Amino acid sequence: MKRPSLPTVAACAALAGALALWAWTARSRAAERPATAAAPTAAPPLPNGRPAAPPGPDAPHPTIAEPTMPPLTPAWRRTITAQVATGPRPGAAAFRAMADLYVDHNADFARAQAEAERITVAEVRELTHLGLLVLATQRVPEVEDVLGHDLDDAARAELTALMHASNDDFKRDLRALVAAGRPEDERWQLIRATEARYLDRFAAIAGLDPDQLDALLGGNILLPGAPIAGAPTPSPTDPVDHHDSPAEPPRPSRP
Amino acid sequence: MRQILAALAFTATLAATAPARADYYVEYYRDNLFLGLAYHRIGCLTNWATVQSNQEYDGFTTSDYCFAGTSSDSVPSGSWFDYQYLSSSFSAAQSKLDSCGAQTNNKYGTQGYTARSSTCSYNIVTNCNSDCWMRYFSTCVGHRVSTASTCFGYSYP
Repeated sequence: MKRPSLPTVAACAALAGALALWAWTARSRAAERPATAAAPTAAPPLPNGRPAAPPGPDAPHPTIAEPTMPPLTPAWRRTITAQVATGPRPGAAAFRAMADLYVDHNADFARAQAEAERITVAEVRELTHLGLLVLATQRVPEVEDVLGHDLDDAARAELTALMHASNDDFKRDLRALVAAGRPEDERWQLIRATEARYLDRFAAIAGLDPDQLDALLGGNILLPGAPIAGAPTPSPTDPVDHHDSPAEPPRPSRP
Repeated sequence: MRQILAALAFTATLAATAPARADYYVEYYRDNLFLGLAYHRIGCLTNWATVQSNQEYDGFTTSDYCFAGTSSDSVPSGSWFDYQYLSSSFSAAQSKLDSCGAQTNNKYGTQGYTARSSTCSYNIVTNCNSDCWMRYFSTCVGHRVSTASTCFGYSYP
């Protein structure tokens, strides 16, 4: 038998390689994209719920639950309003009640968040209040309503930067404390210092005094006369769906 | 030599006829404020491996989250929470997201993805915040993601 020449061997090797490559890529494509005739199967999820492999167009969508804000019913608002009416800072107290309601309504998420960050549920509750508080104080139009004048562009930019810097610094510092195994009371000191520092800087930038801050926190959401006081009572079957609601609520006003 | 050239030509033909895999998605992330349960939500265009565009789809902030070429299993300061398959065509996927982004910006007065609405006053429970923006946007894209705000006054379209 005649021995094949070197070019023939090389050509056969190239051909075999090409066929192997084509077969491999074809198999990969078939594995990644479910066939339309076969029942689609979801890839095993990662811990955050993200499918490990790219889901094809027909892959079943995983059920993903996220924290939701419960409806602030008129009865709840009446109760809270009565509770906070005689306190020194009714707006802040009402705002905290709303944040607590939100955490209570999402207790499983709060526990999961506490486990993920290796902190307590009480800390998650406080941090949720802090996050919502920061969001509330970033409502520039309402800050301006309370102040009675507009903020200039520099102040608005400074407020935004304050939120991001406070958030980033806090996350880094708290995680460092956890990683170092520092005791819970040190974490609480950091939480309280962060909140105090944020509110001090916010007041300095925006020019709000404590009474005005209290009006900002309570007046727009919870107290009688707040815009959502007139909102329709949610349907018990779909408490967060308002597709048929006609328009924006009225602009918030001071209590 | 002719055999080598023939093999190379055959290889090139195979490479040309085997379609490159290309699926595009919008992947949703949430930026956790102060490690509690308050979030800002963002959508990025991805091919499941990497972010494909610097355009973040979100409202009421000018912060940057989507950076083309970076890994899509998370974005800076954000954790993944949901997705929607878009298309096997990059241009179709991008066009869909840009169209829905424009519609949502028009709805909330945040044209150009501005941090401040020109038509409503930011409020964490009424229909004027980034959660409601994302609810409207994701509904437009085809799969409504779960958000926290009650969005009183919400309507679609």
